Formats: sequence, structure tokens, C-alpha cells
Amino acid sequence: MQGQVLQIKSQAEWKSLVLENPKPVIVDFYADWCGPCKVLKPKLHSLHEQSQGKWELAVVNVDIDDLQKISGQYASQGIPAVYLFNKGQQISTFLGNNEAKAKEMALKAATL
Amino acid sequence: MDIEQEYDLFVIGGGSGGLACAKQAAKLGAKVALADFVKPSPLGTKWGLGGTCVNVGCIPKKLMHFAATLGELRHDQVEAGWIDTQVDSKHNWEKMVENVNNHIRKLNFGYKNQLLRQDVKYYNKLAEFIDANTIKLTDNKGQIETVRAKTILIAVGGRPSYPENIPNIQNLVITSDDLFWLQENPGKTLVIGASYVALECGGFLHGIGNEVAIMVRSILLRGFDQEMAEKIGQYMEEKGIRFIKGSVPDMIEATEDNKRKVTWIINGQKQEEIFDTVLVATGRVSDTQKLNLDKVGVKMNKNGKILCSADDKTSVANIFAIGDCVEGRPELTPTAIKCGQLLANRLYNNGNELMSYEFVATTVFTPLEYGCIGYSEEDAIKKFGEEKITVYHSIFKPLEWNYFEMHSGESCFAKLIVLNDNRRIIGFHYLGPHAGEVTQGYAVAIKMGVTKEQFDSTVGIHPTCSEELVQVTAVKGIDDAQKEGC
Repeated sequence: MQGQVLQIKSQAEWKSLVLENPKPVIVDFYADWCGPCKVLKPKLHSLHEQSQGKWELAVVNVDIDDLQKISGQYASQGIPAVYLFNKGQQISTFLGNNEAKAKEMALKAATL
Repeated sequence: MDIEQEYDLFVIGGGSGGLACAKQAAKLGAKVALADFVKPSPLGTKWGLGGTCVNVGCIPKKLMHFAATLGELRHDQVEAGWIDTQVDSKHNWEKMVENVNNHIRKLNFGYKNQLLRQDVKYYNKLAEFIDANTIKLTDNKGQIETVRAKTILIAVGGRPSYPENIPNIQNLVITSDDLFWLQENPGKTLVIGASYVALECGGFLHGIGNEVAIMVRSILLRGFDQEMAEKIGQYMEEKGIRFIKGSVPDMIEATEDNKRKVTWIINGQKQEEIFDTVLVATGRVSDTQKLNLDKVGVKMNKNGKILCSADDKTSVANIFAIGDCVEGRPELTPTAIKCGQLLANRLYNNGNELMSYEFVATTVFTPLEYGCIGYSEEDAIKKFGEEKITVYHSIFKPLEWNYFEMHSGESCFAKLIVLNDNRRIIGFHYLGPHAGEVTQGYAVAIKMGVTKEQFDSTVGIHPTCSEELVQVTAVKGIDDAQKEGC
């Protein structure tokens, strides 16, 4: 469904909704206590809304216990950490509240 | 029971000391694991990885102390010319706590990531000994696993202690474990205790606008220089913090509207008063009770503090202990960190440097801050004899305090204790603004053995408070500390 954001809550969901998703997925590693994350979040949402369903947006809350291994792998340099996945492969990534890189990633996702 | 992993080093406790040792050991190639588990306070407060300093100590304390000092600056702002400053605007506790807690969670996350990047296996589980090489780990759902390690480090720190004479006290009062995570302003607060925890917390609560009383049994800041301690207390009283001296609480009860009725006795007379919150800060106790140390033979003193030699070894050859849980160590983050790093170097890199606790600088963040290095005047007299030392002292007023007329010209104070035969400065005491920043640099000099004459030959930076320390000439017992004239 267009505009719906995938909240990843478990390792199983990471596998099925991100790695095995038929569409490209932009994943946002996020936490409520992280100021820059809160600023980037609506920008990602708005890019997703404009994408006309070409890619999915998933959010991983790094405080979720079941996802510690995944958060450790992808968010160990800090958050917000944003990744573009396509068919289980990591295509690109950026760190921090970077609107320009977010736009660039959204454009790339739309062409995959 | 399936015995699982084997490690070179297993660290029990993810606070300042434990984390520092674990990371350093891993850097040196050891296979390391660390277990950290926070037992909730009696009121249910809990927190993440990082230990006391990060979660319920230094970090939130300094942030809240800073919030209070910002409030006090409003008067200076007005006199310095700023328009529309509201000197009596209210403080939003929830906003401060949310920002403080978010910062702490960021630190928790950072530590978790550091462990991951350094290949230190992190167990969020409660550890206890099965034998000298085997540890039982229990998670918050009660599930158990077992690990084995060649060397084990105990770095479990401490928790606040409670007075024993009051029934049900743990459910009636808060401690520093709870204060920094309180979701509502604690209101009119009685602080019980005379430790730096009591004075710092009482200080910032008053600074943000709360009515505060501090109940002390005898002296303030036991173990610190008493002339400085008295001046700290005096400054706080002048600010409007009420001290109830020479008392301990006799009874604490919950009232119908969930306030606290406290009763105490002064000069044979019973006094009572209602407070919104009672904060107990009468001391800390080593958190070693549930480790099963008796079973493995790790010796402790009667207060649960582990007995260690200068190289951090316990009475069991492969078990070490560092930080607040060890007898005789200062309860400070930087000493625990350094001690942990040096221990890792000795264990895994043929190091032989032992931790030195001589001339460790520290600062008390009371409303008027106090930085000190080395001997208090009492300790210097006891160790060397009064005739073997010279004490220099000075009362000063920060230049910036001349905007707002209510600032005292007599509260700030500096003192140097000098050993006569070699003229070395063995005690440094500064009571004034920015005490931590002022004191740190001098710690380097004092550790190197700086003399009074070297201080005197150092040109001061003007205009600062710090320059007082390289200009003080008045001798205690001969000269007045107060300078004459302008």
C-alpha cells in the first residue's frame, strides 16, 4: 500500500520485509532519543510519499532487543543510518541527517 | 547445565571501570565478554549500559547542575543589559529530564556499539559465581546460561544505601538512582545526608526553584577539607537552602495525599514537617552481595567492599576487582577507568604500571563549585605536622559578579597547602565558578611536584578567577585572606 511505512520489529520481519522484499527498500535505523533522527524522519516519509510506490520505507528502532545483532551490524557508526537494499543486496548508505543524500538515495531507489 | 563459551577475560559490571578494562583487553587481543545488569531500584527505576556515572551519577548530575546555574544567571543577564529576561520564570522539569535521559540513552547506545566493534561479547544478564572460573548468567526472564573464563574482573560498583532505623523506608524515599529519571518535578524536597551527592542534588533542586531542606547528622562532606566544606554550606544557606543540622530522621510516613511527613528530634524536641519528596543520600554500599563471593573465597570487608592488593588482585589468584566495589579506592569514574586500562595492560601486554591514587583531582558541583587536589588541611597536619606546612589563602570575587549586586564578595576562596622543606604544593583548594575547568590544569603541575615558587613565577591570565592561585601571598595565621582596597 502506497505511503505505508514498514516498522521492523523482529529478525523474521527484517528477512521478509527488507531482504526478501520484491521492491527496493530504504531502511532508516532510528531511535526516539536521537535528535537528528527525528529531523530526518519526516523528510524520508515525504520522499516516500512522492515515490509513487516505486520503493518501500522501513524503520528499525535500534532499542528493540530482538534486533540488536542487526542494529549492531548496520548502526554501529551512529544513527540515523540509512540503507538502500534491493533484492537483499545493500546498494548504498549514508549516515546522519543529510537531506541531499536522502534525495539522491530516493532517486536511485526509483530507478532500480 | 551446558557450559558454553570460554573467554580469556570475563568482566562483571559495565560501568566506568568494567568497560574500560574490557575494551582495552580486547584491543590487546584477548577474548573478552562483559555482563551488565541493572537491578531496578526499590521504586522500579532502571537504566542501560554504562554504569553509575553515565546513568545515575556524573552525567545527569552535571547537566542538571548546569540547568540550575543557567537559572541563576538571569539576574546577571538583566544587569548586563539584556531586555525581557524574566528572572522569576518557571523551570520545566519534564523538558530537562527528557533531554538528559535522551543524552544518556545515546551514551548507552554508544557503549553497546563500542563493545560490538571491539569484539567484546555483551551479556545483559545478572552474573554470579559458580566457581573461580565459571559464571552463571540470568536474564530478565529468568533464563540461565553459563560461561567459563580464565580471568574474571569484578567491577560491580555500588548502589545507594538507606538508613536502617525507619520501617519501609525504601518505598517512601527516593535516591540518586531515581532522581535523574523522575518524570515529575519532586517538589518540596528534604535531602537527608551530607555527602557530595546530597549537597549537589539539594543544590540544583533549589537552583531550579524548588524549596529544599538538607538534614545533616554532623559535618558536611566528611573526608574533604572542612574549612572548604563549611564555606560551601554557608554559601548554600545564603542562597536560601535550609540546613537542619545535628539531626537524623526519626520517622517518615506517607500522608493521605501521598506526601511525606518527616519527624526528627532537635535538642530533645520533636519536630515534624511535610515534604513532597524525601531524597536519601547518606552513602553508598558495594554491590557484591549476590555475587556468591564467599563461595569462591573472594575476601571482603564487613561492608562488602572487596579486599585487593595494589595490583587489583583479590584473594583468589585469577579474580581481580576494580572501581567503587573495592576497599580503599576513591569512588570516581576517571580512577576506575585508568585502573581498568592499566590492569588490561598488565594482563595482556606485559605492562607493569600500577594505578596511582596520589594527587587525583576532583570537583564537587555544589551551587558554588569546589575543586581540589591532594591533601586537605586536616590530612596534611595529621601526616606532616602543623609546623611542617604553610597554608596560603585568599578570598576573591569573580569580575563577572560585579554586574549583579547581590553576589557576595566573600564567598570565593582559594587555598594552597605547601610543604616547608621542599616547598611542594601538596594541597590545592578552589571554591568558585568553573571549579572543574580551573582545577584540571593544576593537577598536572601538582603531580609533577610543582613548588609554590614555581606557581609564583607563573604569570596569571587576567582577568580570571584562576589567576588567584598563582598570586596568593597571604599566609593563614598571619595575614587576612581578604585583600584590602580595590
